[in-house]
Amino acid sequence: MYKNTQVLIVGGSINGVTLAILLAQNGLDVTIIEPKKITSRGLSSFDGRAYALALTTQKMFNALNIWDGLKINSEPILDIKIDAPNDNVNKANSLLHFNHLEMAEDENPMGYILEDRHLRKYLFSQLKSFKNINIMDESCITEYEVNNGHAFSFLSTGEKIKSNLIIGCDGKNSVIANIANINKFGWNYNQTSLVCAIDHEKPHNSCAYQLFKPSGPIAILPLPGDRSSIVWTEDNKTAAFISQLNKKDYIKNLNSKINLNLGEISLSGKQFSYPLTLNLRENFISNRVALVGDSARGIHPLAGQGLNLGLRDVASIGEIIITACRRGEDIGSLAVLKRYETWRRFETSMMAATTDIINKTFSNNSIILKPITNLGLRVLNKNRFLKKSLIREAAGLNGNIPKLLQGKLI
Amino acid sequence: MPTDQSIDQKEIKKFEQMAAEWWDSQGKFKPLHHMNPCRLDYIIKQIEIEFNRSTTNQNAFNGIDILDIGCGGGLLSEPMARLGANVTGVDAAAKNIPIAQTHAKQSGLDIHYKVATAESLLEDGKQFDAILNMEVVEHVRNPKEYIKTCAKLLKPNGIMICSTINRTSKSFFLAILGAEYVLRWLPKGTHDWKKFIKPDELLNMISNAELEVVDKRGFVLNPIAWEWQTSDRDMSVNYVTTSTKPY
Repeated sequence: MYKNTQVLIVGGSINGVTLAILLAQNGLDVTIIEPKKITSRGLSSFDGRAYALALTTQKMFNALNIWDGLKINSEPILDIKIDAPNDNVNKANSLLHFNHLEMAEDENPMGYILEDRHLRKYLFSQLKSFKNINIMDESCITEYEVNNGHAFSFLSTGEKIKSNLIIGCDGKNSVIANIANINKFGWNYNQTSLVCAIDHEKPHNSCAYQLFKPSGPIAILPLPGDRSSIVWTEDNKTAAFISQLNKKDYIKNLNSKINLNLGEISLSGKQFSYPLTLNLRENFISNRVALVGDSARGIHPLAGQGLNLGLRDVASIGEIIITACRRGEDIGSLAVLKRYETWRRFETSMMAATTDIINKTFSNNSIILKPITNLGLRVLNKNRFLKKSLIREAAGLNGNIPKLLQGKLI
Repeated sequence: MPTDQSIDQKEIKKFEQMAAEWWDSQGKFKPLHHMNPCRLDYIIKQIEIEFNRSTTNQNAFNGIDILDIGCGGGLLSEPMARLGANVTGVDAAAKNIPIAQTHAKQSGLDIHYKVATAESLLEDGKQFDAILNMEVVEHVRNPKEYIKTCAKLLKPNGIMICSTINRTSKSFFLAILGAEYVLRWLPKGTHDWKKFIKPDELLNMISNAELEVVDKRGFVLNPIAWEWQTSDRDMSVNYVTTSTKPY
């Protein structure tokens, strides 16, 4: 016997769960399948790993009625300071300084920093309040076939599911994308991100820093209290060396790079490292399958856009499905899925290319390029218009924005 | 017996293929699929207003009897059925009916399809809450009588949504240029410009049939967004009207 559901979500990820909540709130019947126990995915030991939530992402959580629960653990970003490749970071002025009051329409923060563990815990706790979300955890999809306007999925547990549509939210090694034969391509940056949280003596004043170093960018993101999350990129070799240092030497190494007037710093929790890759899937859609977030593409996490971009996918596909549903259309039909692909494809390639170029430009020691990038940043800092459009881009306020990201209901 | 069955199987296969063709949004009927969301949005809005329903609810059109005249492969009938309506789809072209039936069955939808014209339906004595009369009127021999017949098929307080093509210099040029894309999806030469109907003429026919026009607007293709949209002003080519039958 087949279990019937309208939308089958493969992967109990942040994207998967957010999409399930969005669709369920709009009356659709949803099933999530997840290889691990769903309760374990709702918990995270990743102490210190944090996301920079774009304003649009915050608006989306607000429209989904979950922001109030997330807000208490979020730190607003009131200032962003960007420093160019220069060994001397002790200069009084950063090359580029954004203040939230420059954001035109309102005096909202430019975004929020939220730790992974808090986001997951609260988000996943919402699942149980929906009768129309069915969770089948500890099971994988092994195969699917399309017949008579439906997708028939076969699970590792022997169970079978009949749905109108399958949505892949299962990350860069997406099983469903592989089964659907959607090719993957991409490259390795030969860089690794070192991630940790630090306690510091002096307050961060809600300021986020992005320092461009020859070896790669460093982001210092303010957490509630006198804590910050560090995302620190080095070439693979250096990263491997730093990773095996003891806490004291690790901090010493870090301190020599940042030097931000935060006073005494110490590690708060564990250190993590993630090799950087960029991967894109040839298509966002296939026969009754759509890919969301990292299953469609993983970008360089430079501007912290991975989570935001993924949730933008969620908002887009959600809006398209809900609209199609109210129109009486077949939500899994190619006509409907094409709308998603057209909407997302352009923006994604732009974002991936831009962050890739920025990273390549700044991560170098070229005596020719360095003065140019420094000059560029100085010019940019003087130009309010350029600055505003750059910050709006990073905040996700540019482009054809899904309703949810504007804080509106669909 | 086996021979009969194999003939049946062949027939079924053929209809499945034709249904797949009708429903291939990237294929022969691409222009129609492209226009369909805009038509559906209009139709749904009008039904929501008239019957005080909201498609934010499941089965929003539950209990509403809808007649889709010129149903073709069922591109309007199926969405209406999915929204919970009781749908009757008729087409004068006999070959379309098994195609529509095959696809509805595949989609798991219960739709009553049959070969019929508005006139032949009158004899059945059944009336409907809503009639979808989309791009049919320009093909019938006597549009004035046809609209009268449609009015008789409508229940009191029922609603008729009727779209057609205007007779303007713009539509003339589009027609001779063979731009069937804008004029709809039918094969080249299907449309005879002389039979196109001006909005005033259609509105006259509607009031003649004692229906009350409650809305009219154009369907226009936005060349930049490459999307069909409704327009309050531009009825120079494709346009649509909604009328109700007074109680």
